[in-house]
Amino acid sequence: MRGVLVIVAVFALVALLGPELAPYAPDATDLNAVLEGPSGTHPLGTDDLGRDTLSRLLFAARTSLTTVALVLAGALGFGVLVGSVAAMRGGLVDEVLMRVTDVALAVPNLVIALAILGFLGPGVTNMVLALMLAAWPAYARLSRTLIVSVKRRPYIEAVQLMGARRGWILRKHLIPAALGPVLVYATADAGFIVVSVATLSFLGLGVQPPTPEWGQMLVAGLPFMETSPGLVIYPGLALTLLVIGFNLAGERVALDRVPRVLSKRKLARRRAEALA
Amino acid sequence: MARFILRRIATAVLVLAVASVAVFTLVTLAPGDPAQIVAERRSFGADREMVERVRAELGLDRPLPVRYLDWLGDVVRGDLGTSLRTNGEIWAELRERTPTTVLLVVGATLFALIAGAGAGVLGALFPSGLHDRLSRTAALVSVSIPSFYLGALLVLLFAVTLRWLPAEGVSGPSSWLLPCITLGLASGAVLSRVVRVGLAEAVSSRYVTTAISRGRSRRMTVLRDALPNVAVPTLTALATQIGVIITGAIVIEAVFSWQGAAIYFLEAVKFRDFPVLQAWLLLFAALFVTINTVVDITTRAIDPRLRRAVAEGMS
Repeated sequence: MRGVLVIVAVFALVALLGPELAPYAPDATDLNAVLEGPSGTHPLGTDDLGRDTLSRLLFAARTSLTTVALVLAGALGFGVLVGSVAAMRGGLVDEVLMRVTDVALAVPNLVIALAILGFLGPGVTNMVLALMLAAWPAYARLSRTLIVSVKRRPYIEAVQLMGARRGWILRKHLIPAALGPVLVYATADAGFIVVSVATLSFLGLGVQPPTPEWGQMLVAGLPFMETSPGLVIYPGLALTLLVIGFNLAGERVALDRVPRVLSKRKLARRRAEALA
Repeated sequence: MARFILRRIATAVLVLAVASVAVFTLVTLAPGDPAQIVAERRSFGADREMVERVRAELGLDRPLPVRYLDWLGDVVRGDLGTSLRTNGEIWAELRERTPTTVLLVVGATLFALIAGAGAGVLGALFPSGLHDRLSRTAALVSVSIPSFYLGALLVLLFAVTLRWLPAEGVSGPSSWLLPCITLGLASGAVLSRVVRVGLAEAVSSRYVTTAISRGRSRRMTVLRDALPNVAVPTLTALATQIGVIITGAIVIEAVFSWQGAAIYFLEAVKFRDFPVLQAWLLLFAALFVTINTVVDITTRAIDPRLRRAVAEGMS
């Protein structure tokens, strides 16, 4: 657990402070120091335009984490909205909305995102939009199921009898009850979205060249792999570490929500307390 | 069983019909006027009259439902239209490129199945704390590492440094190795966990205890009695993984410069080649629906328990 927290925290810190930590500006070129290996002045070397690799990696952390946060916020917000509408309205509205999510969930997210980018054209904004549109159905599905199950509980009926309006019940009781599992899912989803952002940028459809981004840095480094392998190794390493961090965090958060069986010692203590 | 198969096929056709409407709508909603684009391509600075002529020629001036049915009729007859980018017949271009992608997907699937099932069975035959921890870490890394990075690392090691295998292109079995391994590794890791967990569950069940108490060796019991019971969850997992592998082929063909059908889709995305996008998405939907339907029917066929459940519950 501690290891997981450390990974995610280090990346968050780098994203926040990266620009201050970076020895150079990410777009500062130095044509006298092109494709250099690691040295005192450039700890991780330079790329084909003489830009400092370490500085670009640090700036890229911010690019990656902000795009991922935007995609998750958008997908979660829209998904929960659709899920709430489906759960509250029921009937035909529910049926139609859920069949739409069925079809969308059957197609892999990357294919949906690529298709949308094909119609909108490449770029960061369109990539964020495309990934949101690919990711929301899972959130809609999950929040609908949760809201429907909470809606049937006696305490909701009691609030209804007291004269509360549906919108108020949804805001004050149903959505907060559904939010826990939805956030657990979002944590597990984050790693997948990090990879999607990097993959789309690697393919030239996402973050565009002057802005540093790991996938796009990696593809730019491929032609120089023979002489400067670091240009390929470092961005990928940063990316993989972040994904491992998110995946472990997702697994951990999901486990934490499962009620644990009490250990023998705890059980004994409980029993003693009950008897006293 | 026959009734189940019929119903499953009917659902598949219905889903495909919905998907075709969705794909068609997406294209008509896309920004930009296709008549304008085509006219511009034919002659630079096309005037309004030329645009209208192209519109009438492409049949874009007719009502949407008519255009949809027309398009669907063409598709059913095997006419997927012409590419805006190459001006070639989409069907012919796809047919030319499909064998490459099939090779990649089949190779990766076989690798995933053999490596995954192998690792899972080994883990069950020789259970140890260290082995389990190692295989879990390996699975986590294989699932987390982006495929284009894994591909680049393998090329760096085996093609650039050791010079054992070619870095790109399709030229005989040695060039298939790296792409198929890169594409299949993550799925292999998932399958190994499914097999391992399934076997562990089976080993702790009573029929295995019975078999062992009757004098059969533990190893034989795992292979002969427990393994067939893991087939259904493995097959179900494999079906989802085939979807993952087909999607992953887009990236892998880009990494290793393979001129397959998957990269054809990516080129269409980059050039906003709408007819190709439309054709590709429809074929993709058809492929997915077919895989799902076939897997559903096969799992019913090989697992008598599911068949009975269907007979009692559903129909």
